[in-house]
Amino acid sequence: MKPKIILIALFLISISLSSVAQDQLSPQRKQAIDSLALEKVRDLSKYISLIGDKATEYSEATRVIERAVELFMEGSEVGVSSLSRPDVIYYQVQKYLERLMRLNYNKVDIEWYKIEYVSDLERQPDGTYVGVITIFQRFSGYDIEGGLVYQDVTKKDITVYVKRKETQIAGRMIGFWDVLLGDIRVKETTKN
Amino acid sequence: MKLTLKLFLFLLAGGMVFATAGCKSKKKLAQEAAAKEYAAKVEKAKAELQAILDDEGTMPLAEMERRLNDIKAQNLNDPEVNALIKKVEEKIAKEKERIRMLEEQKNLEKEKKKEVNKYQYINDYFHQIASAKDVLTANARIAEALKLYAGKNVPVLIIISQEAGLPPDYDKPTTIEAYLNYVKDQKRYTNEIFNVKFDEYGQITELELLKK
Repeated sequence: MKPKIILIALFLISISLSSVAQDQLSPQRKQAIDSLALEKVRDLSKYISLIGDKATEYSEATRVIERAVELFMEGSEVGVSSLSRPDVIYYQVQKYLERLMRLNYNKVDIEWYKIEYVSDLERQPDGTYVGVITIFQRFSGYDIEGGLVYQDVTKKDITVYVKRKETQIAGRMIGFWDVLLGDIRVKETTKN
Repeated sequence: MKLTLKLFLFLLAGGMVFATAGCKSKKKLAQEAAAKEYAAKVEKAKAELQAILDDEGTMPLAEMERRLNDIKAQNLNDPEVNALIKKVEEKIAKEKERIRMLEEQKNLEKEKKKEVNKYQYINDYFHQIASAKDVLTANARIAEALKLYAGKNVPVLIIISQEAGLPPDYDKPTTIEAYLNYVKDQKRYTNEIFNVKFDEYGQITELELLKK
């Protein structure tokens, strides 16, 4: 009886070890998905800048909002802070972007910089890689005369989820990495 | 008379002994000379073979082969020379393989360049859209570019990494219309064309890009 149990245990261990080996990505592949997730955050940065830009036509801005929303997981929220109040208000992504489009300034400049990982992508038991990317956002609002009426710098943390999925394209199975952004949390807001 | 005969016989015997001894010494000399010549040939062959082995890329491959063949033709049958011949043959084989691979790489690059040039017109649209001075210009280029494709929903696949023995890793598949707008919004196009599929009318039905 005992040898049987030992054999079964060894079999189970070998199966679990082989699945661990399969799950482990080579450094080159890991680097590729790290870069892909960073790229999605940079894409969002460009979309936010376009949506906030008063020179962007309404039809273009609404199209860009759709593209930006597609980058997020359903139900994700974006934190909004201000130097004039201590609390942070969280909006659903779509609402946040629409609000951004309608901000009461004559001109808005939004710049994201220092976009980097604060927490590397780590594999979760369900196979999803989760990490946190931090960004600094400089927001500048101008009046009709072109005078700067409001400016702040906000440090924000964005949770990123990366999962390998498969889809069929023209009868061919394609394995792809689906990157989705989660909540954008405000860490701190300063004057500049 | 008797004395004369005796003297003659004595001289004859002496002459024969002397002649045999002289012959023997000539043969020995010839043998010695041959041995000396062989040793010299072996030394020369060893030096030449060693020179080929020590060469660090200055001697052309044809010259190496010519020298080796000359030495092999001498059939010296010396163990040291034979060992060196084997080493030189290995070096030549390695060098030939290196040249073959280099040639193959060059041909591949040439083919790739040809391929890139072949699809340059597709890339040109992406670059023009990315660098368009305004949205109107970018949209006009997008409308033109879309004529190359079988439809707005033609799939665009972007390879993010490729590893030997594994299928490529892709970014989330998109459509050509969405991708052209993406290039316009991001004002950036840094991919290269990896593969293009066409239908019978010459319109693109699938575009595969490679992230640089």
